[in-house]
Amino acid sequence: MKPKKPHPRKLYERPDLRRMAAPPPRDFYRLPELELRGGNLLTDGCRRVLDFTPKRVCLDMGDTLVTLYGEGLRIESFAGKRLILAGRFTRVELRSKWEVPPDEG
Amino acid sequence: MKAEFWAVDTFRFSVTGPGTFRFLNRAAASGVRLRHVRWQKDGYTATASGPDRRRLEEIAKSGGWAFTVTARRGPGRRTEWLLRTRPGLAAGAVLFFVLLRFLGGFVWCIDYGAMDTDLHAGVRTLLADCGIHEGVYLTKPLLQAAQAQALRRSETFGWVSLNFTGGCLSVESTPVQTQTVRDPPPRQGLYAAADGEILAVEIESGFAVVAVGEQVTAGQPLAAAEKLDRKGNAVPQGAWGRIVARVQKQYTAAQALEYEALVYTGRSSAAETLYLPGYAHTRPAETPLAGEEQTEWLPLRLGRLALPACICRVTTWEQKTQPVRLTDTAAVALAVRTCRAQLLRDFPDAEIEAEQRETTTENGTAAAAVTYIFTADIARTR
Repeated sequence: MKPKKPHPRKLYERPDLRRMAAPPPRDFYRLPELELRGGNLLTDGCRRVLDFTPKRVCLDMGDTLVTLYGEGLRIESFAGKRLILAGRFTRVELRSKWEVPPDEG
Repeated sequence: MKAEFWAVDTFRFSVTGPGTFRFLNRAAASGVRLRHVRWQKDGYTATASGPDRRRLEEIAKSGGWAFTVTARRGPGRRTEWLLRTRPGLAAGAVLFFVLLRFLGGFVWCIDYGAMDTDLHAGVRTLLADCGIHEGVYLTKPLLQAAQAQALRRSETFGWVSLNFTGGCLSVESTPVQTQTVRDPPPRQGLYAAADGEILAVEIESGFAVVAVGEQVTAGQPLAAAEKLDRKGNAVPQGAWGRIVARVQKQYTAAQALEYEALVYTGRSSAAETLYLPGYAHTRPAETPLAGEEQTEWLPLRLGRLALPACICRVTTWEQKTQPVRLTDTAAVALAVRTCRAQLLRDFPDAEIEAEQRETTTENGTAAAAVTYIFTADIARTR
Protein backbone atom coordinates (compact mmCIF):
# COMPACT_ATOMS: atom_id res chain seq x y z
CA MET A 1 0.00 0.00 0.00
CA LYS A 2 1.28 3.34 -1.01
CA PRO A 3 2.12 5.47 1.99
CA LYS A 4 -0.17 8.41 2.45
CA LYS A 5 1.31 11.71 1.46
CA PRO A 6 1.35 14.08 4.37
CA HIS A 7 -1.06 16.93 3.93
CA PRO A 8 0.87 20.09 3.20
CA ARG A 9 0.71 22.37 6.12
CA LYS A 10 -1.09 25.59 5.39
CA LEU A 11 1.14 28.55 5.62
CA TYR A 12 -0.54 31.44 7.18
CA GLU A 13 0.54 34.21 9.40
CA ARG A 14 -0.98 34.64 12.77
CA PRO A 15 -2.75 37.97 12.90
CA ASP A 16 -0.90 40.60 14.82
CA LEU A 17 -3.46 41.22 17.54
CA ARG A 18 -1.34 43.89 19.18
CA ARG A 19 -1.29 45.93 16.02
CA MET A 20 -5.01 45.44 15.47
CA ALA A 21 -5.82 46.63 18.97
CA ALA A 22 -3.41 49.53 18.81
CA PRO A 23 -4.87 53.04 18.54
CA PRO A 24 -4.82 54.70 15.12
CA PRO A 25 -1.98 57.07 14.26
CA ARG A 26 -1.99 60.46 15.84
CA ASP A 27 -4.46 62.95 14.34
CA PHE A 28 -5.89 60.10 12.21
CA TYR A 29 -9.38 61.48 12.43
CA ARG A 30 -8.23 64.98 11.62
CA LEU A 31 -6.45 64.05 8.41
CA PRO A 32 -7.95 65.41 5.19
CA GLU A 33 -10.29 63.21 3.19
CA LEU A 34 -10.60 62.86 -0.56
CA GLU A 35 -13.41 60.83 -2.04
CA LEU A 36 -13.79 60.42 -5.78
CA ARG A 37 -17.29 59.47 -6.92
CA GLY A 38 -17.67 59.40 -10.64
CA GLY A 39 -17.05 62.89 -11.88
CA ASN A 40 -17.22 64.43 -8.41
CA LEU A 41 -14.46 64.79 -5.88
CA LEU A 42 -15.58 65.35 -2.29
CA THR A 43 -13.04 66.73 0.13
CA ASP A 44 -13.19 67.39 3.83
CA GLY A 45 -10.42 69.32 5.51
CA CYS A 46 -9.60 71.65 2.64
CA ARG A 47 -8.04 74.70 4.19
CA ARG A 48 -7.63 76.82 1.11
CA VAL A 49 -7.84 76.86 -2.65
CA LEU A 50 -4.40 77.84 -3.86
CA ASP A 51 -5.16 77.81 -7.55
CA PHE A 52 -8.22 77.20 -9.64
CA THR A 53 -8.41 76.99 -13.41
CA PRO A 54 -10.47 74.66 -15.64
CA LYS A 55 -7.38 72.45 -16.04
CA ARG A 56 -5.77 72.58 -12.63
CA VAL A 57 -6.95 72.91 -9.06
CA CYS A 58 -4.53 73.10 -6.17
CA LEU A 59 -5.81 72.56 -2.64
CA ASP A 60 -4.16 73.10 0.71
CA MET A 61 -5.12 70.08 2.83
CA GLY A 62 -3.02 70.73 5.91
CA ASP A 63 0.37 69.07 5.54
CA THR A 64 -0.42 67.97 2.02
CA LEU A 65 -0.87 69.92 -1.16
CA VAL A 66 -3.27 68.18 -3.54
CA THR A 67 -3.15 69.18 -7.17
CA LEU A 68 -5.82 67.86 -9.48
CA TYR A 69 -5.47 67.94 -13.24
CA GLY A 70 -8.23 67.44 -15.75
CA GLU A 71 -10.67 69.11 -18.13
CA GLY A 72 -13.53 71.45 -17.33
CA LEU A 73 -12.88 71.49 -13.60
CA ARG A 74 -15.28 73.49 -11.52
CA ILE A 75 -16.22 73.97 -7.86
CA GLU A 76 -19.79 72.84 -7.22
CA SER A 77 -19.87 73.77 -3.53
CA PHE A 78 -17.43 75.37 -1.12
CA ALA A 79 -18.34 76.06 2.48
CA GLY A 80 -16.09 75.91 5.51
CA LYS A 81 -13.64 73.06 4.91
CA ARG A 82 -15.90 71.04 2.64
CA LEU A 83 -15.38 71.38 -1.04
CA ILE A 84 -16.97 69.49 -3.92
CA LEU A 85 -15.19 69.54 -7.27
CA ALA A 86 -16.63 68.34 -10.55
CA GLY A 87 -15.20 67.73 -13.98
CA ARG A 88 -13.09 65.11 -15.75
CA PHE A 89 -10.08 64.28 -13.58
CA THR A 90 -6.99 62.88 -15.25
CA ARG A 91 -4.30 63.06 -12.60
CA VAL A 92 -3.90 63.66 -8.87
CA GLU A 93 -0.65 64.85 -7.40
CA LEU A 94 0.09 64.74 -3.68
CA ARG A 95 2.99 66.65 -2.27
CA SER A 96 4.09 67.53 1.22
CA LYS A 97 3.75 71.19 1.91
CA TRP A 98 7.30 71.38 3.25
CA GLU A 99 8.88 69.37 0.43
CA VAL A 100 11.02 71.41 -1.97
CA PRO A 101 10.08 70.71 -5.62
CA PRO A 102 12.89 68.86 -7.49
CA ASP A 103 13.18 71.52 -10.22
CA GLU A 104 13.68 74.18 -7.52
CA GLY A 105 16.15 71.97 -5.55
CA MET B 1 -34.17 94.98 -7.96
CA LYS B 2 -35.91 95.35 -4.68
CA ALA B 3 -33.40 95.49 -1.89
CA GLU B 4 -35.94 94.34 0.67
CA PHE B 5 -36.29 90.89 -0.95
CA TRP B 6 -32.61 90.01 -0.95
CA ALA B 7 -33.16 87.68 2.00
CA VAL B 8 -35.13 85.18 -0.07
CA ASP B 9 -33.00 85.48 -3.21
CA THR B 10 -30.23 83.45 -4.71
CA PHE B 11 -27.89 85.48 -6.87
CA ARG B 12 -25.00 84.95 -9.26
CA PHE B 13 -22.05 87.23 -9.04
CA SER B 14 -18.66 87.71 -10.58
CA VAL B 15 -15.56 88.77 -8.74
CA THR B 16 -12.52 89.96 -10.61
CA GLY B 17 -9.08 91.20 -9.68
CA PRO B 18 -5.65 89.82 -8.83
CA GLY B 19 -5.57 86.59 -6.75
CA THR B 20 -9.32 86.10 -6.70
CA PHE B 21 -9.01 82.55 -5.27
CA ARG B 22 -8.28 84.28 -1.96
CA PHE B 23 -11.75 85.74 -2.15
CA LEU B 24 -13.13 82.20 -2.37
CA ASN B 25 -11.09 81.10 0.67
CA ARG B 26 -12.18 84.05 2.76
CA ALA B 27 -15.82 83.64 1.81
CA ALA B 28 -15.81 79.92 2.64
CA ALA B 29 -13.99 80.54 5.92
CA SER B 30 -16.56 83.15 6.96
CA GLY B 31 -19.40 80.65 6.62
CA VAL B 32 -20.72 81.58 3.17
CA ARG B 33 -21.66 78.65 0.97
CA LEU B 34 -20.53 79.22 -2.59
CA ARG B 35 -22.07 77.12 -5.35
CA HIS B 36 -21.31 76.57 -9.01
CA VAL B 37 -17.97 78.36 -8.93
CA ARG B 38 -16.68 78.81 -12.53
CA TRP B 39 -13.45 80.18 -13.72
CA GLN B 40 -13.50 83.16 -16.03
CA LYS B 41 -10.88 85.47 -17.32
CA ASP B 42 -9.21 87.30 -14.37
CA GLY B 43 -11.79 86.06 -11.88
CA TYR B 44 -14.65 83.75 -11.00
CA THR B 45 -18.42 83.59 -11.09
CA ALA B 46 -20.37 81.87 -8.34
CA THR B 47 -23.84 81.55 -6.81
CA ALA B 48 -24.71 82.43 -3.20
CA SER B 49 -27.80 83.03 -1.06
CA GLY B 50 -29.27 86.50 -0.60
CA PRO B 51 -28.45 86.89 3.14
CA ASP B 52 -24.74 86.43 2.35
CA ARG B 53 -24.64 89.25 -0.18
CA ARG B 54 -23.59 91.96 2.24
CA ARG B 55 -20.81 89.79 3.70
CA LEU B 56 -19.46 88.96 0.23
CA GLU B 57 -19.49 92.62 -0.71
CA GLU B 58 -17.48 93.46 2.42
CA ILE B 59 -14.92 90.71 1.69
CA ALA B 60 -14.55 91.95 -1.89
CA LYS B 61 -14.17 95.52 -0.69
CA SER B 62 -11.54 94.64 1.91
CA GLY B 63 -9.54 92.62 -0.65
CA GLY B 64 -9.79 95.18 -3.41
CA TRP B 65 -11.74 92.89 -5.77
CA ALA B 66 -14.52 94.03 -8.03
CA PHE B 67 -17.83 92.44 -7.01
CA THR B 68 -20.70 92.48 -9.49
CA VAL B 69 -24.10 90.82 -9.21
CA THR B 70 -24.93 89.43 -12.63
CA ALA B 71 -28.24 87.67 -12.03
CA ARG B 72 -30.78 87.33 -9.31
CA ARG B 73 -33.54 84.83 -8.76
CA GLY B 74 -36.15 85.92 -6.26
CA PRO B 75 -39.33 84.34 -4.94
CA GLY B 76 -41.20 85.41 -8.10
CA ARG B 77 -42.95 88.54 -9.23
CA ARG B 78 -46.36 87.59 -7.89
CA THR B 79 -44.98 86.60 -4.48
CA GLU B 80 -43.02 89.84 -4.32
CA TRP B 81 -46.16 91.79 -5.15
CA LEU B 82 -48.08 89.95 -2.46
CA LEU B 83 -45.38 90.53 0.11
CA ARG B 84 -45.28 94.24 -0.71
CA THR B 85 -49.01 94.92 -0.88
CA ARG B 86 -50.32 92.32 1.59
CA PRO B 87 -47.69 91.96 4.32
CA GLY B 88 -50.39 90.64 6.64
CA LEU B 89 -50.46 87.37 4.72
CA ALA B 90 -46.82 86.63 5.47
CA ALA B 91 -47.20 87.88 9.04
CA GLY B 92 -50.29 85.69 9.46
CA ALA B 93 -48.48 82.63 8.14
CA VAL B 94 -45.56 83.21 10.51
CA LEU B 95 -47.95 83.82 13.40
CA PHE B 96 -49.86 80.66 12.52
CA PHE B 97 -46.78 78.47 12.76
CA VAL B 98 -45.61 80.18 15.94
CA LEU B 99 -49.02 79.66 17.56
CA LEU B 100 -49.18 76.10 16.28
CA ARG B 101 -45.87 75.41 17.92
CA PHE B 102 -46.76 77.20 21.16
CA LEU B 103 -50.35 76.00 21.56
CA GLY B 104 -49.31 72.40 20.82
CA GLY B 105 -47.84 72.36 24.32
CA PHE B 106 -51.27 72.80 25.93
CA VAL B 107 -53.66 69.94 26.57
CA TRP B 108 -56.52 70.26 24.07
CA CYS B 109 -58.17 66.93 24.59
CA ILE B 110 -57.79 63.77 26.62
CA ASP B 111 -58.16 60.55 24.68
CA TYR B 112 -59.07 57.52 26.74
CA GLY B 113 -58.73 55.10 23.84
CA ALA B 114 -60.41 51.75 24.33
CA MET B 115 -60.88 52.23 28.06
CA ASP B 116 -64.29 51.41 29.56
CA THR B 117 -66.52 54.46 29.96
CA ASP B 118 -67.04 53.66 33.64
CA LEU B 119 -63.35 54.20 34.30
CA HIS B 120 -63.15 57.62 32.60
CA ALA B 121 -64.28 59.52 35.68
CA GLY B 122 -61.68 57.82 37.87
CA VAL B 123 -58.86 58.57 35.45
CA ARG B 124 -60.07 62.14 35.09
CA THR B 125 -60.02 62.62 38.86
CA LEU B 126 -56.58 61.08 39.06
CA LEU B 127 -55.26 63.43 36.34
CA ALA B 128 -56.94 66.43 37.97
CA ASP B 129 -55.26 65.57 41.27
CA CYS B 130 -51.95 65.67 39.41
CA GLY B 131 -52.90 69.09 38.01
CA ILE B 132 -53.62 67.89 34.48
CA HIS B 133 -56.73 69.01 32.61
CA GLU B 134 -57.56 70.78 29.36
CA GLY B 135 -55.76 74.11 29.09
CA VAL B 136 -52.69 73.12 31.14
CA TYR B 137 -49.25 73.60 29.58
CA LEU B 138 -47.93 70.07 29.87
CA THR B 139 -44.23 69.74 30.52
CA LYS B 140 -42.28 66.52 30.50
CA PRO B 141 -41.58 66.49 34.28
CA LEU B 142 -45.28 67.06 34.99
CA LEU B 143 -46.23 64.22 32.66
CA GLN B 144 -43.70 61.87 34.22
CA ALA B 145 -44.83 62.80 37.72
CA ALA B 146 -48.46 62.21 36.76
CA GLN B 147 -47.65 58.85 35.26
CA ALA B 148 -45.73 57.78 38.34
CA GLN B 149 -48.57 58.89 40.59
CA ALA B 150 -51.13 57.14 38.38
CA LEU B 151 -49.21 53.89 38.59
CA ARG B 152 -48.81 54.26 42.35
CA ARG B 153 -52.38 55.16 43.16
CA SER B 154 -54.39 53.21 40.68
CA GLU B 155 -55.66 49.86 41.83
CA THR B 156 -57.78 49.34 38.75
CA PHE B 157 -54.96 49.33 36.20
CA GLY B 158 -52.00 47.06 35.98
CA TRP B 159 -50.17 49.53 33.79
CA VAL B 160 -50.92 53.12 32.77
CA SER B 161 -49.13 55.14 30.14
CA LEU B 162 -49.66 58.84 29.37
CA ASN B 163 -48.57 59.98 25.93
CA PHE B 164 -48.78 63.61 24.92
CA THR B 165 -48.41 64.60 21.29
CA GLY B 166 -49.81 67.55 19.39
CA GLY B 167 -52.03 68.72 22.23
CA CYS B 168 -53.71 65.34 22.71
CA LEU B 169 -53.09 63.41 25.91
CA SER B 170 -53.63 59.71 25.29
CA VAL B 171 -54.22 57.44 28.23
CA GLU B 172 -53.33 53.83 27.61
CA SER B 173 -53.84 51.21 30.25
CA THR B 174 -54.19 47.53 30.88
CA PRO B 175 -56.51 46.16 33.57
CA VAL B 176 -54.94 44.76 36.67
CA GLN B 177 -54.74 41.00 36.90
CA THR B 178 -54.76 39.63 40.40
CA GLN B 179 -53.42 36.26 41.26
CA THR B 180 -54.18 34.97 44.72
CA VAL B 181 -51.38 33.09 46.33
CA ARG B 182 -52.71 31.10 49.25
CA ASP B 183 -50.42 30.63 52.20
CA PRO B 184 -49.98 27.08 53.47
CA PRO B 185 -52.71 26.38 56.06
CA PRO B 186 -51.70 26.95 59.68
CA ARG B 187 -51.13 23.84 61.76
CA GLN B 188 -54.51 23.80 63.43
CA GLY B 189 -57.78 21.99 63.01
CA LEU B 190 -61.24 23.01 61.85
CA TYR B 191 -64.19 23.40 64.21
CA ALA B 192 -67.93 23.75 63.72
CA ALA B 193 -69.28 27.28 63.79
CA ALA B 194 -72.86 26.15 64.47
CA ASP B 195 -74.94 23.10 65.26
CA GLY B 196 -76.00 21.16 62.22
CA GLU B 197 -76.06 18.07 60.06
CA ILE B 198 -73.05 17.40 57.86
CA LEU B 199 -73.96 17.33 54.16
CA ALA B 200 -70.55 17.33 52.49
CA VAL B 201 -66.93 17.03 53.57
CA GLU B 202 -64.64 18.79 51.12
CA ILE B 203 -61.34 18.75 52.98
CA GLU B 204 -58.34 19.86 50.92
CA SER B 205 -55.79 19.40 53.67
CA GLY B 206 -55.76 17.87 57.13
CA PHE B 207 -57.68 14.85 58.43
CA ALA B 208 -61.50 14.84 58.58
CA VAL B 209 -62.98 13.53 61.83
CA VAL B 210 -66.65 13.74 60.84
CA ALA B 211 -68.62 12.02 58.12
CA VAL B 212 -71.62 12.95 56.02
CA GLY B 213 -74.86 12.57 57.93
CA GLU B 214 -73.38 13.19 61.36
CA GLN B 215 -74.85 15.76 63.74
CA VAL B 216 -72.33 18.23 65.07
CA THR B 217 -72.51 20.92 67.72
CA ALA B 218 -70.88 24.31 67.71
CA GLY B 219 -67.19 24.08 68.62
CA GLN B 220 -66.91 20.39 67.79
CA PRO B 221 -63.73 19.43 65.87
CA LEU B 222 -64.44 18.72 62.20
CA ALA B 223 -60.90 18.16 60.90
CA ALA B 224 -57.65 17.52 62.73
CA ALA B 225 -54.26 18.95 61.87
CA GLU B 226 -52.35 15.93 63.08
CA LYS B 227 -52.56 12.17 62.76
CA LEU B 228 -50.47 9.35 64.16
CA ASP B 229 -48.84 6.97 61.73
CA ARG B 230 -48.38 3.21 62.35
CA LYS B 231 -45.34 3.78 64.50
CA GLY B 232 -47.18 6.30 66.62
CA ASN B 233 -45.33 9.31 65.20
CA ALA B 234 -47.37 12.45 64.65
CA VAL B 235 -47.93 13.49 61.01
CA PRO B 236 -48.74 17.20 61.04
CA GLN B 237 -50.82 18.79 58.28
CA GLY B 238 -52.79 22.02 58.66
CA ALA B 239 -56.52 21.51 58.08
CA TRP B 240 -58.17 23.41 55.24
CA GLY B 241 -61.32 23.03 53.20
CA ARG B 242 -65.10 23.21 53.34
CA ILE B 243 -67.52 21.24 55.46
CA VAL B 244 -71.06 21.95 54.40
CA ALA B 245 -73.84 21.44 56.90
CA ARG B 246 -77.55 22.10 57.22
CA VAL B 247 -78.04 24.53 60.07
CA GLN B 248 -81.03 25.96 61.86
CA LYS B 249 -80.36 29.24 63.54
CA GLN B 250 -82.34 32.19 64.79
CA TYR B 251 -81.42 35.84 64.45
CA THR B 252 -83.17 38.78 66.07
CA ALA B 253 -83.17 42.47 65.27
CA ALA B 254 -85.09 45.59 66.28
CA GLN B 255 -85.89 48.69 64.28
CA ALA B 256 -87.16 51.95 65.82
CA LEU B 257 -90.18 53.48 64.10
CA GLU B 258 -88.76 56.96 64.59
CA TYR B 259 -85.10 57.83 64.37
CA GLU B 260 -82.84 60.60 63.12
CA ALA B 261 -80.77 60.17 59.99
CA LEU B 262 -78.74 62.18 57.50
CA VAL B 263 -80.98 62.69 54.48
CA TYR B 264 -80.78 64.65 51.26
CA THR B 265 -82.90 67.78 51.22
CA GLY B 266 -83.03 68.05 47.43
CA ARG B 267 -81.22 71.37 47.39
CA SER B 268 -77.94 71.72 45.58
CA SER B 269 -75.44 74.40 44.70
CA ALA B 270 -72.74 74.41 42.03
CA ALA B 271 -69.37 76.18 41.98
CA GLU B 272 -67.72 76.36 38.57
CA THR B 273 -64.11 76.99 37.62
CA LEU B 274 -63.19 77.87 34.05
CA TYR B 275 -59.69 76.78 33.05
CA LEU B 276 -58.14 78.53 30.06
CA PRO B 277 -54.46 78.45 29.01
CA GLY B 278 -52.68 80.34 31.77
CA TYR B 279 -55.90 81.57 33.36
CA ALA B 280 -58.50 80.20 35.76
CA HIS B 281 -61.69 81.87 36.88
CA THR B 282 -63.85 80.53 39.70
CA ARG B 283 -67.50 81.36 40.11
CA PRO B 284 -68.45 80.44 43.69
CA ALA B 285 -71.76 78.83 44.56
CA GLU B 286 -74.60 81.29 45.11
CA THR B 287 -75.65 79.67 48.39
CA PRO B 288 -72.91 77.59 50.00
CA LEU B 289 -74.35 74.30 51.24
CA ALA B 290 -72.92 71.51 53.35
CA GLY B 291 -73.25 67.99 52.08
CA GLU B 292 -71.92 65.55 49.57
CA GLU B 293 -69.81 66.91 46.74
CA GLN B 294 -69.83 65.70 43.16
CA THR B 295 -67.13 66.88 40.73
CA GLU B 296 -67.67 67.03 36.97
CA TRP B 297 -65.12 67.97 34.32
CA LEU B 298 -66.65 69.45 31.17
CA PRO B 299 -64.21 69.95 28.28
CA LEU B 300 -65.15 72.87 26.01
CA ARG B 301 -65.80 72.12 22.37
CA LEU B 302 -66.65 74.17 19.33
CA GLY B 303 -68.69 71.70 17.32
CA ARG B 304 -66.30 68.81 16.88
CA LEU B 305 -63.25 70.94 17.57
CA ALA B 306 -61.77 70.52 21.03
CA LEU B 307 -60.56 73.67 22.75
CA PRO B 308 -57.77 73.94 25.30
CA ALA B 309 -60.22 74.84 28.03
CA CYS B 310 -62.56 73.10 30.43
CA ILE B 311 -65.01 73.76 33.22
CA CYS B 312 -64.79 72.03 36.57
CA ARG B 313 -68.21 71.95 38.23
CA VAL B 314 -68.44 70.98 41.89
CA THR B 315 -72.06 70.29 42.85
CA THR B 316 -72.87 70.10 46.55
CA TRP B 317 -75.96 68.13 47.50
CA GLU B 318 -77.26 69.31 50.86
CA GLN B 319 -77.70 66.74 53.61
CA LYS B 320 -79.36 67.37 56.97
CA THR B 321 -80.10 65.31 60.01
CA GLN B 322 -83.86 64.92 60.08
CA PRO B 323 -86.29 62.73 61.98
CA VAL B 324 -87.50 59.79 59.93
CA ARG B 325 -90.77 58.04 60.68
CA LEU B 326 -91.32 54.60 59.31
CA THR B 327 -94.55 52.73 58.84
CA ASP B 328 -94.94 49.47 60.74
CA THR B 329 -94.49 47.42 57.58
CA ALA B 330 -91.32 49.25 56.56
CA ALA B 331 -89.85 48.96 60.06
CA VAL B 332 -90.55 45.23 60.15
CA ALA B 333 -89.01 44.78 56.69
CA LEU B 334 -85.90 46.63 57.82
CA ALA B 335 -85.64 44.46 60.95
CA VAL B 336 -85.93 41.30 58.82
CA ARG B 337 -83.33 42.71 56.47
CA THR B 338 -80.99 43.25 59.43
CA CYS B 339 -81.49 39.62 60.45
CA ARG B 340 -80.56 38.42 57.01
CA ALA B 341 -77.53 40.72 57.01
CA GLN B 342 -76.42 39.13 60.28
CA LEU B 343 -76.79 35.65 58.79
CA LEU B 344 -74.78 36.56 55.69
CA ARG B 345 -72.12 38.18 57.86
CA ASP B 346 -71.71 34.92 59.82
CA PHE B 347 -72.06 32.59 56.82
CA PRO B 348 -71.31 34.46 53.58
CA ASP B 349 -72.04 31.41 51.39
CA ALA B 350 -75.31 30.54 53.09
CA GLU B 351 -78.12 29.21 50.91
CA ILE B 352 -81.42 29.68 52.70
CA GLU B 353 -83.77 26.73 52.42
CA ALA B 354 -86.52 27.94 54.72
CA GLU B 355 -87.22 30.76 57.13
CA GLN B 356 -89.78 31.44 59.82
CA ARG B 357 -90.49 35.00 60.87
CA GLU B 358 -91.94 36.26 64.11
CA THR B 359 -92.47 40.01 64.10
CA THR B 360 -93.95 42.35 66.68
CA THR B 361 -94.42 46.11 66.87
CA GLU B 362 -94.46 47.48 70.39
CA ASN B 363 -93.47 50.74 72.10
CA GLY B 364 -92.34 52.38 68.88
CA THR B 365 -90.04 49.51 67.95
CA ALA B 366 -90.47 46.74 65.42
CA ALA B 367 -88.78 43.49 66.43
CA ALA B 368 -88.12 40.52 64.20
CA ALA B 369 -86.94 37.03 65.12
CA VAL B 370 -86.20 34.97 62.03
CA THR B 371 -85.30 31.31 62.17
CA TYR B 372 -83.39 30.24 59.09
CA ILE B 373 -82.74 26.76 57.84
CA PHE B 374 -79.77 27.05 55.53
CA THR B 375 -76.78 25.18 54.17
CA ALA B 376 -73.35 26.72 54.50
CA ASP B 377 -69.72 25.98 55.17
CA ILE B 378 -69.45 25.79 58.95
CA ALA B 379 -65.74 24.95 59.21
CA ARG B 380 -63.75 27.58 61.08
CA THR B 381 -60.34 27.74 62.57
CA ARG B 382 -60.99 28.74 66.19
